[in-house]
Amino acid sequence: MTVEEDQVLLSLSGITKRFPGVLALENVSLDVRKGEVLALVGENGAGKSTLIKILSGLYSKDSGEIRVRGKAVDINGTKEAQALGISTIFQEPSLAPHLSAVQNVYLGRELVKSVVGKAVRAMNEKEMYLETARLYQKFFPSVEDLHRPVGELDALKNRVIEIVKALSVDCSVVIMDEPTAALAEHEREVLFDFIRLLKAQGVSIIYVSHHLRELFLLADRITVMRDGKNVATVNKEDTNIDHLVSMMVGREISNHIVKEKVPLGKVVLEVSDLNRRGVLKDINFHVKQGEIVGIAGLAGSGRTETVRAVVGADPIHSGKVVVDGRPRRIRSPRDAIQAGIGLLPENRKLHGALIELTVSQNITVASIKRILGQRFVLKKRKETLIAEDYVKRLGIKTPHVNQKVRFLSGGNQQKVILAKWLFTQPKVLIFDEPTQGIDVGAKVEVYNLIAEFVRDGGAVLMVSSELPELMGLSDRIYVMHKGRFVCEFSREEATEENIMMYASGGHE
Amino acid sequence: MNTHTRKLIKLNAREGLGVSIILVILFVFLSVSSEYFLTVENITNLLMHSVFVMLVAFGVMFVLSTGGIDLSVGSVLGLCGGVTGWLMMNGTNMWLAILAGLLLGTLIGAFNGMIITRLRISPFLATFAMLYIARGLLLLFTINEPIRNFATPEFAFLAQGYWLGIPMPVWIALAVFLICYFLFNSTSFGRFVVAVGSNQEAAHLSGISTNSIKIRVYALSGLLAASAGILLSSRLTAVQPLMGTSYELDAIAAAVIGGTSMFGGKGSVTGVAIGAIILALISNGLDLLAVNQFYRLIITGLIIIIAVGVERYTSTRAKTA
Ligand SMILES: Nc1ncnc2c1ncn2[C@@H]1O[C@H](COP(=O)(O)OP(=O)(O)OP(=O)(O)O)[C@@H](O)[C@H]1O
Ligand SMILES: [Mg+2]
Repeated sequence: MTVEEDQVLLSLSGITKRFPGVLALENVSLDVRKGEVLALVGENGAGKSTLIKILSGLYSKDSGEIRVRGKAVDINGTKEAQALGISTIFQEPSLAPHLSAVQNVYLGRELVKSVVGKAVRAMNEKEMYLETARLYQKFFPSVEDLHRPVGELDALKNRVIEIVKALSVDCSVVIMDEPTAALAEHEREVLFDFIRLLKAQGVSIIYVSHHLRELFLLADRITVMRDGKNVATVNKEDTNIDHLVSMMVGREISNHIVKEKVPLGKVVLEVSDLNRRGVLKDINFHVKQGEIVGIAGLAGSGRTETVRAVVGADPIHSGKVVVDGRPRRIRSPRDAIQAGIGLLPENRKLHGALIELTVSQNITVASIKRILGQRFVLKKRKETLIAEDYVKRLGIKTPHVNQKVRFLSGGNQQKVILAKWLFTQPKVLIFDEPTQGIDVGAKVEVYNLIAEFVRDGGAVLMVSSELPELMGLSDRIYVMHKGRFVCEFSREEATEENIMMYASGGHE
Repeated sequence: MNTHTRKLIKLNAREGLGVSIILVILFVFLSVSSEYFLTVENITNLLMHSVFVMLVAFGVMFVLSTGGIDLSVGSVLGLCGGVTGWLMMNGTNMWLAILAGLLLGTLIGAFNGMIITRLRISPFLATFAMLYIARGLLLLFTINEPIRNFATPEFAFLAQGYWLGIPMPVWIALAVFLICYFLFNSTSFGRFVVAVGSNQEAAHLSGISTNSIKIRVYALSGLLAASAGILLSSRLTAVQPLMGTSYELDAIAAAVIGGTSMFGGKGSVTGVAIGAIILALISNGLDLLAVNQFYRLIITGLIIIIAVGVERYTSTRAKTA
């Protein structure tokens, strides 16, 4: 396979990057051609984000060469990357929470216009707004949120604003690091259409994702990374999911969800007449011992709000929570943990990870009593052993358990948070998007852990935007629409079609 | 396990590397440039001077680690030292007077914490207001007659006495250092402090009552400021109405030089101790070298910037090199 020199837009050769204790990239070489979608896949910690950060000027490479249109370049900082036509959507949200969407999109490169002659210039608010609105409306029809601080908007809208920001720059390469994490099915479709449009305009796209299926809709070529090396680059036509997975993990694994039937026990969690004005209306549900209950719904339908209300993270106006037959007053997550309910929250960066703390400190922080010896002294040795055990079981990639979580890859941070909640050993575990950003191999691992938890008598309530995952694991599924539970399906009744119909309000 | 601990030590050692280097450089420089520096008398004197800021800075470090700030410590120091002195001047038993001073400091700190958590006033503003209030109260105490002639020999011994040839304040600071070190590194309280500072929302969702942690941290800061105030009043055997002014800035400087982050989530008790000693070293060195007052301020400022800069540089190297 030979390619004309002038078709190659971006070429990397021999890129190496070392962090203390980790060789993140080892001699990575790859080409990006004009107008192609190049997918980048690999297990958590394989080095995908590191490669991207080097391309966008956030990290400096230890060795190797980057060429843009045949010319060797040095990229120091995002401004230089943008000047070279490289625009990036990072894995971790990077918007300024107090600024509005428009301000964020044009941060550092505000448009100006002349007010008095050429000398006095002011920001051209109108044009910045119009351009932002034009791009934003491709995803959401209503633009009323564009002037609100983005910190007040939900995760999905933040994602979209980041995408808008990347696209508003005049660029020849757009890099997207897991842009669809936490996006619902139809929102992904919108994004894909957009990517195809960009591609048709001759823009190249580097696309990182753990959703292997979507790559086959989008990518021209797929590069597989493992342990900091690029293992292979293949044309989409020449491969399939199983082939990709075996290259990623270097062994055969099954990526099918196998749900074993567990005998159901008594009702562990019962929630009745839960109301939060303007958000949740008359929510009633229960979860039994040994049961996995799913909540389906579109973004904004109130799934996250429901589970947050149950653990007391958000205020409620009415509602009763009964755990193991005992009514409980839950006004804070602390009360919830004491009652035996744990919530793994949706937004890793904002609500989950304590990035300045170490892996072991993160794992034990929600159940510190269990490593507390006499007189409030922490048993650090015990803590280390516990953490090492979880690191092994979940395959968390870290040089040691005393590494700060800040230095872990996104998917590995998610695993640490999972470990934290598993270690609380509650009666009911609530998961809000548990596998976002987790690679295929580890997903199976997480499903096994969830299965093990219910087998041992736990109960699970799960929110997920990924229908296959939700349908594969759940014994029962509730569907939400506009803050209400509109329907309940048993495992046998649930199909993608009827869930989507109720979720989108088609039953009304 | 072994390789793990070794790596950990290496990383931690690097994190405190910058300040230690500065400390050594200053030490060597002063030993060479002044013949009076490296004498037992001067070194004890120097350590002794560092103690007052150090005690305050330990508390401030806890507050900074939660992502807060405490500007009231200088005034609390003055007020609590003053109240202890005033009580003794009016015949109260020494230990009762000390206890009252410590209690007052703790209460003021807890009050700061309540205002911050319940009324949701920013720590900067709340403690800035307390800076004025506490100072005003001390002025009221001293309005009719100055607080002096209260120090009994036992009370003066606290700050002026020696034990095993080492000044009492140094022993006291050592004890407080050990307690704070233990609190910060080995108890759930210390763990929760950095958790709150690292990500308050995540800490809350992990079942930590963030409000109670914050209130306790400010109370601790008040308690330590009060202890420094009482010690200072024993040292000076009189309480001027302006005692402790601008201590809050020295304390914050000591903490930050020692690697504490002003954005929370990161602190070090050892770092604070080194930071406070560096500040004392600078002032002692400038005294010995008879540097003119104007230059003193400029040089002090420059050394603080260099110290923090070197620490930041070496600790980020440790992470990304
Ligand atoms: N700043 C850093 N300091 C130390 N180690 C780091 C740093 N950034 C990344 N690493 C390590 O480098 C390796 C590669 O990380 P990277 O973020 O590139 O993985 P990734 O392929 O994007 O994974 P994921 O799918 O989980 O996002 C990981 O082992 C990670 O722990
Ligand atoms: Mg990544």
